[in-house]
Amino acid sequence: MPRITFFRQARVDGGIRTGINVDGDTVEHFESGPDELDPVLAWFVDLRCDGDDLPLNAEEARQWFLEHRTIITDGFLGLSKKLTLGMDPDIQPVQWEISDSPSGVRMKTVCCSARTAPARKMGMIAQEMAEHWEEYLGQLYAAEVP
Amino acid sequence: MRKTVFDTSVLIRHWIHCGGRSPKNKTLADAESWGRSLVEAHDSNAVLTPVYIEFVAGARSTAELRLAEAYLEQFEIIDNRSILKQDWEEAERLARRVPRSGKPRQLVDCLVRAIANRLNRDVFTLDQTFPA
Repeated sequence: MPRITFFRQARVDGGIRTGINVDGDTVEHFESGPDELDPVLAWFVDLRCDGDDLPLNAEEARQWFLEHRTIITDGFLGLSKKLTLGMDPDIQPVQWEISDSPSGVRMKTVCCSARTAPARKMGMIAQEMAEHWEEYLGQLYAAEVP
Repeated sequence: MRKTVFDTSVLIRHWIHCGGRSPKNKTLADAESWGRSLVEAHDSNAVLTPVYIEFVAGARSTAELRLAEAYLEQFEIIDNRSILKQDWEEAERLARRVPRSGKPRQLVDCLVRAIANRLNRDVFTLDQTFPA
């Protein structure tokens, strides 16, 4: 079954990767952090979608994510409410299904942090995903395959 | 797959979570499923050669070694078992940086960070003293 994933992940040096993966093929945008290069992952948040009628390449996926922005941003806001108090740092990601996904598609939000400080802020991070969804997708317009 | 590599600390925590500290009466299929579950949860299957070797080195019996190998088969060693001169030089540079805490740096941590930087990968680690 086809799968597309939108991901955003941050490093402790402040670097942030934003990208779309379509069945193993990835496009991504990387913003360097302000601090000295340090590759340790601080957190990640994904939107993972499975279904038969999903787009087949990254640009189509980006458009598809824009078309379904309302469902998706509601999903991230729902995640944000669940994580108002943050989460415990762990290696196991937390996953929540988006209940009103488009027909034939299963959507879930997934987030993880093994570090205490970012784990406590995960609700705020999920809210930012909702508030900046179109901006983050815009970063991927004509983004290159890494 | 996301551009993340697992550090040994994460693999060990996950291994213990799945099979306990001394996984007895477990099958190779069990170990394979544990590895797949971590890959699936994180959408990443990447490890580096030093991590692979450090994990294998933790096995305390032949049976446990077989399980560890089955677990690790679910991951890809993305440096192709090739550690370059520049990786060793960068690892040494990191090892020479004495933190304010004075805590010793670990060879594998320095090497993992050096290789991850070269390959433009982020490192998922539980180690709070990972060399910065």
